[in-house]
Amino acid sequence: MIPTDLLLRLTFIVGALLALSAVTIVGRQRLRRLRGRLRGRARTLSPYVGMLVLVLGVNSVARDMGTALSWVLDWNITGAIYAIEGEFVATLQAAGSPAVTTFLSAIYVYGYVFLLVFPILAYLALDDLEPLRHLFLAYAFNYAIGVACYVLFIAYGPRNLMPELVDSLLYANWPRSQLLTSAVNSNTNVFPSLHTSLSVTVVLLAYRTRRTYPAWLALSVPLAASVVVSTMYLGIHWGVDVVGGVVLGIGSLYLADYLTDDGGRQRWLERTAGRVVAAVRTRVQQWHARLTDSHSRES
Amino acid sequence: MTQGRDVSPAGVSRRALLGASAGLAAASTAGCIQQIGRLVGASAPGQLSLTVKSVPADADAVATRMARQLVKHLERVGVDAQIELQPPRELRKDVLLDGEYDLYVGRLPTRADPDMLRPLLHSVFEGEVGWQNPFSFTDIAVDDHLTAQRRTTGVHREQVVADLQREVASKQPFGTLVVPNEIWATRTDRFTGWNRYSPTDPRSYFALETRGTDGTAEPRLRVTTTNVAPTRNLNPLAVQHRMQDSFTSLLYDPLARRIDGELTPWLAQDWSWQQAGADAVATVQLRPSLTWHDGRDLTASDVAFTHRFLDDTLLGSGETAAPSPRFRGRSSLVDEVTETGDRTVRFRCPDTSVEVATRTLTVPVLPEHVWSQQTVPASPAWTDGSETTSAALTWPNPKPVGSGAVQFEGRADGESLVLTRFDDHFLHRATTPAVPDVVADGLAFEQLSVRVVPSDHAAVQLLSADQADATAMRIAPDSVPRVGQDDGLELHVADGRELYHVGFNTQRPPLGNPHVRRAIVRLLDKRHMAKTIFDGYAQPASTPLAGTDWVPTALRWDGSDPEVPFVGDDGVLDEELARELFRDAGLEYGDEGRLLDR
Repeated sequence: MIPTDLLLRLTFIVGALLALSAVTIVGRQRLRRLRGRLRGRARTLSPYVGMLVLVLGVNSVARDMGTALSWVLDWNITGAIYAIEGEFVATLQAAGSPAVTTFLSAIYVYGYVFLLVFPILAYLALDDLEPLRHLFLAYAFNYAIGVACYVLFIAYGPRNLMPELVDSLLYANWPRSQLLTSAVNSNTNVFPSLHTSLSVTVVLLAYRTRRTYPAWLALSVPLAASVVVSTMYLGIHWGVDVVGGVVLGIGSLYLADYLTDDGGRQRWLERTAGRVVAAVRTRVQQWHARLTDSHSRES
Repeated sequence: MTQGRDVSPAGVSRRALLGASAGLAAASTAGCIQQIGRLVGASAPGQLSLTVKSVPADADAVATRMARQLVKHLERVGVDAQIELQPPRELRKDVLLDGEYDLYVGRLPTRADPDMLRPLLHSVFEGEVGWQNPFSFTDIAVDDHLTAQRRTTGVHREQVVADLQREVASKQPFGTLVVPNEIWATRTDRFTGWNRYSPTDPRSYFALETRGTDGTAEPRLRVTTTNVAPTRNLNPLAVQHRMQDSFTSLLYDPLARRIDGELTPWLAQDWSWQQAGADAVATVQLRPSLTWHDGRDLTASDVAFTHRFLDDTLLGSGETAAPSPRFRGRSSLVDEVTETGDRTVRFRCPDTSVEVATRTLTVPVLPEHVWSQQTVPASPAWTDGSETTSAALTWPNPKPVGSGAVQFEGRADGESLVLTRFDDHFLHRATTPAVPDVVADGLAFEQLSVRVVPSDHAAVQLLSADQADATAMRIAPDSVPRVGQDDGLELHVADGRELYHVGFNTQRPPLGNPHVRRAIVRLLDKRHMAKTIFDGYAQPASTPLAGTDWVPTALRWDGSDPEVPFVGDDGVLDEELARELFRDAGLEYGDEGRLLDR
């Protein structure tokens, strides 16, 4: 149960950032042109959006099941991660200050959401839709592979293992944000860092589109770097999670490239995705009904 | 996960079974990750390796910190030690059901009477699930004392209990660490009476009064908890989900509750106990016209059923009995409960003094018409399939039917639980029965809504925002300053009822050796931990009964532990001296100061 005022605040702040950057980075002209094109573009992009929504949907439905399955597998890697990097995160945190904490807390929640949403808007306004296709596909891969890792590996973050050294800075300074984050994720899902991987994906695409949006590259690089640092500084992620996140972010974009850099593969992908999304859509209601039924019986 | 050699054959096959049934090759991953662990941990062959299990900081930061402290000091004396974090549910499964652990740091439930040590340490309970000898500790001298304290009364029993504690302190089947203070926070504007009992105590809800003067019940009492279990499972027998759970205690009434130190008739109207030779015998009369939440009558038959059922939740239909892992100590005192009338029952407790036997009246009474449906064999997740237990122990009891002052209204998995006032309860009827004043008015609210929060900090902030009235659980010491910052909130501190301890699996060498256990406990500075980890909101414990009136003078905390004092000073370990302890215990050191595993 996420408090509505928190959601409203998130929506308002990210909305304001989006509006501001849309006007300054995307430009009024592109935005005006986009208005007339929206309907057609929605149709062209529907397999990609559908795929992403599907991955996110499966993720949210399967989250509880996934956590339960994790404990059946019982592959706890917290100790191994600690053996590799030790008290690195504690050292990082010791170098901070209250101002840094406030800044990085805001980055972790608002900055991150903005970083993920803005490119969707920016690339939607381009004549060439390839960056947007890549973005949606890479997001889907990030989530799909990331969630698979969460089921496979149990890992608690530094704040949960070394409370005497690493403060839960985000939650200590802003306890109610945990109502938001705990609704989205379980505390055993830290390897790899999806904050990192998605940020890396965004930056790589920003580099590719630097000719069109030079300002976005200039903005996204420090923003993504701050998100990456914040995940460790706030005691949520290990350095190992971040390294894993970088690999996942690069790998996801590579997979997206591979599936779209050849006309045949792309057509196959769009056809398959379209079919899958349609099939899922027809069954989702019945499936959901059955799932909630069995869920209430189990618990 | 611990080292391969320590995983029992049953443990391996259970893993394999679960993995196979999930369509996943889980068993093979176990060996693999151990190798990775060894690789990065750079442990040498032959070095003694121990895993300390505990819960993550989100669940109980003080437990995590004590476990970390233990691991660090074990490493200092040459042990290849690691910590493994698990959510409370999984930790209880490994410790209380599977016996899959080397050491753990956790809490013991309420220590109301010395007889609670009997199921915990007596060798006859070895092999049972739950808090029945999870250490697999067997010792004839301890057994004798445990049996003797059950038979004796008064000063004689005090003497036996003192001897028992000396024996336990000397053998350290588990290391007692500290008794934490109960700390909780409440709003001040709507209810008063919060300081009478701690929030984990079901009696606290009866002591509440509304702030308003018109005497009408407040519609809603809102409490927070960091424990998701009550939103998922309301089975009072499910040991994996329950520690201190005031909500199931409110849903299910016992025959008697202890109020102001006196055992007070609750569902019972009256009783008389007699010593018949070695046996304690009681005739108990129930209050008139008691009903269950579903409207059915609560009769003597239900009481008799409850005791038969707790003794064997299969009611004889299995090859072996499947006793309830919760309330086992109390239910094991009784060998016969007979209904002698519609409202009267007769209890017989063999080889038991009346003083001890009265405890049996505090177990919750269960409705026969509901639980007799659950007496069929089932294969629970914690066995390898060859073992069966009763469905009653694995059933989540989604819509509990009890006879308590609140009844079940609704719940949202992982988020909330809603209970409403049961108007047909004997306390809520027009004529108030003869009960102590503190409970006589029943509940001062119409609805009790329980909200799950991710942390104590979040709980305090919800209180400040007037979205909750009280924390229903003990809060961590580091949340105390936050409560102080808000004038609308009140902080309550009371003596603790729980006990932090380090549990030893005595079946895993070298933990069967009492000298090794003593040496390990001596690695921990209990006083320093109470001061630094608990900010002083805890008292170091030298015996399992620390903080009660049962502690003999010789075992009282006296600046340091009288039996297993810390080897070092002010939290700083004297490494040389500590290593000497392990040598004296019969262990040997190899290259580079590694403690060897023989």
